[in-house]
Amino acid sequence: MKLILMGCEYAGKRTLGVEISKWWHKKNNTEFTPPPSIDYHDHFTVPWVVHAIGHEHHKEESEKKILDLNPGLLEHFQRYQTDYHMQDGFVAEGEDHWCIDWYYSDAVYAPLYYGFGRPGEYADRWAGVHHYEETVMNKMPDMILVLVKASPEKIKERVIAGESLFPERHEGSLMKSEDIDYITERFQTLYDQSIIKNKFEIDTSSATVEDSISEFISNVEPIL
Amino acid sequence: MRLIMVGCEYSGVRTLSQAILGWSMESMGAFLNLPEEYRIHDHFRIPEIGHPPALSKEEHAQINNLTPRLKEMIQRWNVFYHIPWAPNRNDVIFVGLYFEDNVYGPLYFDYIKNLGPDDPIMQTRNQFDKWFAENSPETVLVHVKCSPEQIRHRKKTNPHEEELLKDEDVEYVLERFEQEVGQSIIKNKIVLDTTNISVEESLDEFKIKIVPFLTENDKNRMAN
Repeated sequence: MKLILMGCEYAGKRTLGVEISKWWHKKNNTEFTPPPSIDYHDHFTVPWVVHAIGHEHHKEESEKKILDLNPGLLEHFQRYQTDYHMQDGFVAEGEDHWCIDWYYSDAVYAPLYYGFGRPGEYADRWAGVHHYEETVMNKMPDMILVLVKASPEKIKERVIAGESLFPERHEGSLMKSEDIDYITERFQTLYDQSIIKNKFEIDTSSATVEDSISEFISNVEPIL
Repeated sequence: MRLIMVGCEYSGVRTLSQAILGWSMESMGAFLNLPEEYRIHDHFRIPEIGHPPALSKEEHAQINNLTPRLKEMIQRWNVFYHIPWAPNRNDVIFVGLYFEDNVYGPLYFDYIKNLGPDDPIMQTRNQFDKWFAENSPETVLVHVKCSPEQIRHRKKTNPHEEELLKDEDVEYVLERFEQEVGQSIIKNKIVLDTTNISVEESLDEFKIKIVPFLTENDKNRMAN
């Protein structure tokens, strides 16, 4: 299965992602490894640019140092890692390739917080999404795109309450409360205009985790 | 014309790449369709990881200050980004590329040391050469060599501003480049020894040695 979960921070991507992993491993009779291990490439949003597992010895320091790069250098870093995860070793037929946010992350957050990729300037990340999606559709036509979303009010509530199964994931977050409406709208627009054919939304505003995984399964089964 | 030019610091690889660029532009009109800053890709040695204009000292400091793992990641992605995937490719001169990183990474930047071939990082890195050889068979690997004595002489009389090579490592680095070039499965290889030879003489030697590897397109352009 090729899968991208996209959406605003605190929408519940990683929480749902873990449930998807449990379901998928059970379905395929393979071993589920619980968090902090995850089956996703979830390292495309600054400052969380390293994998969860196998990097404990440098993760904290690296996530600080990455913020020392100026916008031009950070743009290099992000462009290279986005592109790198299109390689055949990851995306070959029959291989699972699961990402959280991937190139959508830069499209939303780079102009806001990273100082690069703004509309009309070099490496415009919003415009770049179409190019990346074309590559995805060319290499992985069976890709499934899921917008995991919640209302801006609910996101703000979760931020204030620190409501997350993965609090460490939000440490050092660059997201500002006043931007949440805009960010959720940006992800929605990216989803709406996406050329990825297999796509659906899951709204976690009032749904339980059990509701959301059931909704995911009922949506994804027919398109597997 | 597609070249990868490699060699120990102070061997003259960068000086020669400029000379070869000038000659190929003049003799066959190569590179003329490319912006000046994209004719030579010489951004594979930390801290200079970007195209001209050169990064500032401050930017170099930011790169140098990254953790070894972040340096390794950005270098791996940097090379990967430049793998030739599509046909009908432009003229290009790569300087250093993965050869240089394989030599200097473990020696001076504390990464890819003691990683076995089964390590996921090395699984990807070890394919770089194969991808170049298979996807761009017209590529010519140019190994620029020089005697240890001459390297030390140049190092002493005309030191680079941000010198990497340490005096005690000269023999080792020369040997490592020898190994890397020897292991490469790129078929078209040229060796130029610049010891006690002028740039003009080295360029003349290159002009002779490149003849068997000129593509039909190169020959047509020279004829015209």
